[in-house]
Amino acid sequence: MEFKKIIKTIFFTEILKGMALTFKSMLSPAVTRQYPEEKHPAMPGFRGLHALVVDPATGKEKCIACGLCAAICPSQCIYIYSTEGPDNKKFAERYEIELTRCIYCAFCVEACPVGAIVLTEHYEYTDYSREALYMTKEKLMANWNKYMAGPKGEEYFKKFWHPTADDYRAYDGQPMFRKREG
Amino acid sequence: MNYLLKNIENPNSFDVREYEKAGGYRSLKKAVEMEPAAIIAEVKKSGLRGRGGAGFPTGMKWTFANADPKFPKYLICNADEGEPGTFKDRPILEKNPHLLIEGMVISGHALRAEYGYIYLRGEYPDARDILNRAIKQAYEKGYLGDNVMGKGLKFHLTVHLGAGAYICGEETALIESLEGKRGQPRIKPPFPVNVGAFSMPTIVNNVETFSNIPCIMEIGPEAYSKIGSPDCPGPKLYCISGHVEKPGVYELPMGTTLREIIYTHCGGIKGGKSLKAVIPGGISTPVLPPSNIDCPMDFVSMPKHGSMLGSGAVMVFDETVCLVKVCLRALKFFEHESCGKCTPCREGTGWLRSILSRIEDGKGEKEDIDTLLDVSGNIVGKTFCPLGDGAGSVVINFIKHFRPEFEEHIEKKGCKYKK
Amino acid sequence: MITITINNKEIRLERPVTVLEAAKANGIKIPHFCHHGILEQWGGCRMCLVEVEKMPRLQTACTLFVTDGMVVMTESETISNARRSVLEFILINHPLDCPVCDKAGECKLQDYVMQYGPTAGRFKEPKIRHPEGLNDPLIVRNQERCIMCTRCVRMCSGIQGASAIAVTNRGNHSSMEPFSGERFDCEYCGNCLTVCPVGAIMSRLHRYSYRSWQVTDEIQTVCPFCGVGCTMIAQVRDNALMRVVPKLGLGSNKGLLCNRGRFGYEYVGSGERLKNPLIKKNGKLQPASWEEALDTVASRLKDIKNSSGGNAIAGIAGARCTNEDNYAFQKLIRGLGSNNIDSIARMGFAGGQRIFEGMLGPGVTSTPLSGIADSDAVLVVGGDPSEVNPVLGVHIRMAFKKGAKVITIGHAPGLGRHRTAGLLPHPQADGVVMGGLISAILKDKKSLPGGNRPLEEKITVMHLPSADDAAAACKLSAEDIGRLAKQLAGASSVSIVVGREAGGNKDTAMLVSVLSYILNARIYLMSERPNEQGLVDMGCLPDMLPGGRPLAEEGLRKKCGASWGIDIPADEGLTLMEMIQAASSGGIKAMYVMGENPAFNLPDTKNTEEALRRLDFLVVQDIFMTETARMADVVLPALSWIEKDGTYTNAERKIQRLKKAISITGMEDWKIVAEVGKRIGLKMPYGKAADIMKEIARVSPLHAGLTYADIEGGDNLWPYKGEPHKNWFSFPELSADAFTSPAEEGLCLMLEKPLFHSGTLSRKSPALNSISPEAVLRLSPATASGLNLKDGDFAKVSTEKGSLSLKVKIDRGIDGPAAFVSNNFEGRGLFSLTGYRLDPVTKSPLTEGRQISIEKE
Repeated sequence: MEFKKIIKTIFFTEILKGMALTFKSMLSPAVTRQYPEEKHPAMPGFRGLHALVVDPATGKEKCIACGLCAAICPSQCIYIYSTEGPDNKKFAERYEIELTRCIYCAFCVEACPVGAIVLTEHYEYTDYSREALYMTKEKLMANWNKYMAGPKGEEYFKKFWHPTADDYRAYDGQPMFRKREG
Repeated sequence: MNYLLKNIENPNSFDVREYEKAGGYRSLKKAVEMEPAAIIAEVKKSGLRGRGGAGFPTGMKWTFANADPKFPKYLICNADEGEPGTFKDRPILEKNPHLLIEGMVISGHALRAEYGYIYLRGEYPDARDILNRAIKQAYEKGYLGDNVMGKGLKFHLTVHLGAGAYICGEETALIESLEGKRGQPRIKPPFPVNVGAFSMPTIVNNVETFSNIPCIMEIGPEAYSKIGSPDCPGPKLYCISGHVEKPGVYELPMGTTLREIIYTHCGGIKGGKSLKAVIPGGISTPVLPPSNIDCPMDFVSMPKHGSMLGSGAVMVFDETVCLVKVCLRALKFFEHESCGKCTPCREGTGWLRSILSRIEDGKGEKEDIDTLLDVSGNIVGKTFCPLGDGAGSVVINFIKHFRPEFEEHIEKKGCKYKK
Repeated sequence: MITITINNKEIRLERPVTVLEAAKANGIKIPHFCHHGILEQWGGCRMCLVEVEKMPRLQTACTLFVTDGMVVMTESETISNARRSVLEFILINHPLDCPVCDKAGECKLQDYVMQYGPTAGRFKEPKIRHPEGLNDPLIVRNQERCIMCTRCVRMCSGIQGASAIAVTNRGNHSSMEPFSGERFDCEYCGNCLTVCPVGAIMSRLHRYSYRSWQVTDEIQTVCPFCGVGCTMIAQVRDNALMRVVPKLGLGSNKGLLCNRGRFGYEYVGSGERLKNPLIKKNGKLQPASWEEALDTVASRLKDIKNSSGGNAIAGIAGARCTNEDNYAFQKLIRGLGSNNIDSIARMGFAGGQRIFEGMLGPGVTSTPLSGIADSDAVLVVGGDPSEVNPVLGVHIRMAFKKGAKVITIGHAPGLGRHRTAGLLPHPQADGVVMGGLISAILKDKKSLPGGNRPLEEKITVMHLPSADDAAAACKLSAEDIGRLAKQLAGASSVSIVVGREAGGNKDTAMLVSVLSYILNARIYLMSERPNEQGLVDMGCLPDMLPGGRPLAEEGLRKKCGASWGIDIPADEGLTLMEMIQAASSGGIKAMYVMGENPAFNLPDTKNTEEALRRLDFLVVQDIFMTETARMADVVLPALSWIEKDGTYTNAERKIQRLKKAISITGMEDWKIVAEVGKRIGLKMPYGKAADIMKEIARVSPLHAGLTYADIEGGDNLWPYKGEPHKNWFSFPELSADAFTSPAEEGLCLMLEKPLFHSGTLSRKSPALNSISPEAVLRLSPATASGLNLKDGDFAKVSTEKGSLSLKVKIDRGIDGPAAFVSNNFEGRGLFSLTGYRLDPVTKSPLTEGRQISIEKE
């Protein structure tokens, strides 16, 4: 043992090992991403900027203003003011999210009984004003059209929305919660 | 010897003169001389049991009502014969109305009630006319009115026509309906014998029960109690419908076996086919398979054989009948007639009916039979009145005795009896 | 003593109650839908099934009465299976639309399904659908959600007595329907809403506007519409009033409300609310700053005081304002050297109460409302309690249901189905009938009860008409009067409910006192405004100081004056109508009106308006631009009932707290008055309403030592902790013509007190306007057909004073030749058609000139 230690001390083997790694790294390509020139690809299901789902059939929001997202929200950053619409249906007059307080837990997505809110993969929305980070209904619906419209949105709900639509097997247009298989 | 259908061959049997000629109103003559308490004692001694379906001892019911000090007391004859398959009261109402009137006047005297109502089924307009005519005659003859038989007794009788609800055959719902309210059963207790029509003591008895009273008066309680089964004696009207050679109403001693009724009195199964099932006492009593038809038809023996005497309405089904369809038809009836007061019956009957109609249409699923049993079990014993119990037990008993037939419907996706 | 065992816990009970009640009283919860403490038993939902030893079937706890030795289990596997199955049954046809249902969060079904319900549904068939009933402006019916507990029906027929709804159809197609079809045509009390355990009947007003858990604050306050002073809870979200709800069992109303209380609150958020002070410049009211407005008021009042003396200034206090407001107001007016302060209570309430107290003793109208329902006989005179004070009316109906004899003298259509007898003498001849009743009762009783000698002496010299004479004078049958007298005399507990018309007439009021004395009856004085009693108690009367102390008592006057730092003039001021007369003759130069609308609410509108126009200076302090405010030189915007703290004193003389639920910019009435007072040089150092209460407690002997904590703690019943004024008897003389019925024949114009309206506030409530949008002429079918008028026709109603064109409404509740017009809608008030004479003692204006002619237009 003593002998080995002496050899190590005499010949600076640790330093040589370290230097070897340094040389190796010098020759291999760099891992640093050059953000913002180079963008980070978001994984599917990434919890980014919020969007309100727009029903392609009607062009209106799917939200029924039940307020469950606001109720579950741990940071209480969702504000909903609902009213009776012209067709006597309930709708959200104002749907607002204070992004500066949001913790991106996506509980709102899970609480929603109709799949009306999503977190998009978009994450670049820093701004100099608080107003820009205060999402209104119009902004949230624009977000959907911008980032999630089309098959991407459908895909999202299949994969990331729980309970999935299949759990609400509907008879005669009436939702009836059924036990999840397995 | 016929007591209830006495004189029935006479085409004018409903007329008071013909009735008197055949010995009618003799019992009344005898009864008005007796003390009210003595009449109640005789009825009690005779062992007469209510013929409406539950088989409650009539004498006991009268004793309860008699013990209540409140006056006036009311007498109600339940002629709301709504149970599917039942038509036993109809011959009395249409052919022998004075027998009923005589029975009611005697009962009125016994119970010191001065007003009687006949709550008549809405679908019996002929009976209404006949009864009204008979009551008019009885008034003229002095059997009804302020001075019955010249003895200073008061008894008035009114016919009230129902509006066709099955539930109004239940005594408290009948009273509600009579008072002009929505026909729904009341909370019991208090029972009608204490708080009945217009919050006064009220005795509700079946047509056949009242019609037995003159017979007890005539032949005496001892002789009466020797007719038929010793536990529940007396003559009984059985009405047989379905696949028999000679369907109809038969007056037989209580306790005649089902086999005797079907094969001896009714001439066996129509066309010599084989028997598949019998419902012995109206649709709400449990169905019996052919193996069980040796039971005596009375209030005591029937429960031992897994069914009930009910109203004595025997429905006979031969081998060509789809029992799922029979069950479905019964549930359609119960769904339609459920009054809606209590949750299990209101919602459960509709649910059972929709599952059954799915099975009958060949859209049944494997778990449906278990669902049927479970849902029926959830109805039975939890409803407000016996209507729901009846609905539930129909399904339970049909599945109990004929489960393979239900399974076949589901497996084969349809009904093989459908033409 | 009954001993039972529930869940192995031994429970002792004094009297047999139901198992459910016994369990509840001992903290054991049994779930139930159809049972409700105040409703009759039903036993239909089957949710409360329990196991009872020696009973083969499960029993409903709500209908089963306990018997000694009963052993009950409320939790077991059988029971939870039963509960689960009942919930499953309910859910098969119940839509799972909780996300949009307004009831979610306070729904019993939701709670029970969470607790006991199945996790998965097995029902695969189509559900039974019912379209939502949206045809009614106030009540939405969603029959899909209905669980047929029939609580609403039992409430409507059993408690409210309206019998407007029923269950139709049968079985699983049953639904609750109003008899009037798709739209309700009922009293709109909304008590069915209170008892619905699910979202089947809901208010349209706040539909879809918030979820129950989003309510940020719940404040218990008092209804601002009438003198019953119903306790209610205001639900607030983000500083906006979302709705008011009663709480069953709470307050004198025990959780019942009427349409005004329940649906009338929307005026608070009305866009027509006054926001800025207005000053009349060049003949037009123009916005001004608070400083400018207050300075103008103070300097003009001071000028007029200096030039014409304090007596040229008059104040009308507000029956909608709190005790604190009114106390400050009378202090201001007295500080200006005037006793000319009065209020709308002069129309009958104050005068009537003075006579009752004078003849029977102080505090005689301080009777708890619950006493009515326990009465054996109720006599109603001079008004329709079911319309003026609807919740009081419900108590009378409850008494009738329990078997009490209810007798009405005069028109009371609201009690049409709940009375033993209704006497309809000429509207000015109530006294004749009363006289006949009294003499018939005395004839039977032979002797007076003794105890109140002066009153008995008075009775012996009253020259009461015999029952026959009374009957002849007012065209009634003598047998009727005799029979009713027997019924009243035979009852062991009698309540007399007195309306404004009877209270204002000294003869009728005296006869009520006499009747109350000989029958030992309780007197209930109907109060049309929330704080009429408060006006009296706070000294807003020309001859009374706070605490119901007469001005004439020098010691107290001096003491009051000293504590306020002023000299209170010793002369009694002018009463309400005298002020108006003085204004028109120039005796009054300035008037300060707080929370009142004299230009519309006082009789003989045209002359009143004229008089107000003649004033040199008129200040109106209100929350809306009323007819009076339009004439004002300065208009000061105040705060509404939900925006301020304070107290109301209701008709039972119970002081109740009003609490601030929402805050908006502006000043409370007392604050405005205090600001004016400060500018005049009065000591009014009030920072909050409680400061005024402290001063009241110091100044008023009746309210001595009373604090808000006492009031909330239940020390709120007369005479509180203070001293009532004693030894104050006065017996006015009956008029010579007290027992003569006017000879007038033909159609008589009557004031309709509409159920759906009560003046300034209600006419700004969209909900109340939607059910009663316009002034109508109500006629009985016979009268209408005699005049060849049909429902919806327009008719011109003319009297000596003027004429109005009104829509005809045929009302089957009206008996006799009477035409009813309300005094509620702008420009269409009855008071523009009638004149008045002043009662010599009560100084209340008594309506005159009821002869009308009606022409079809």
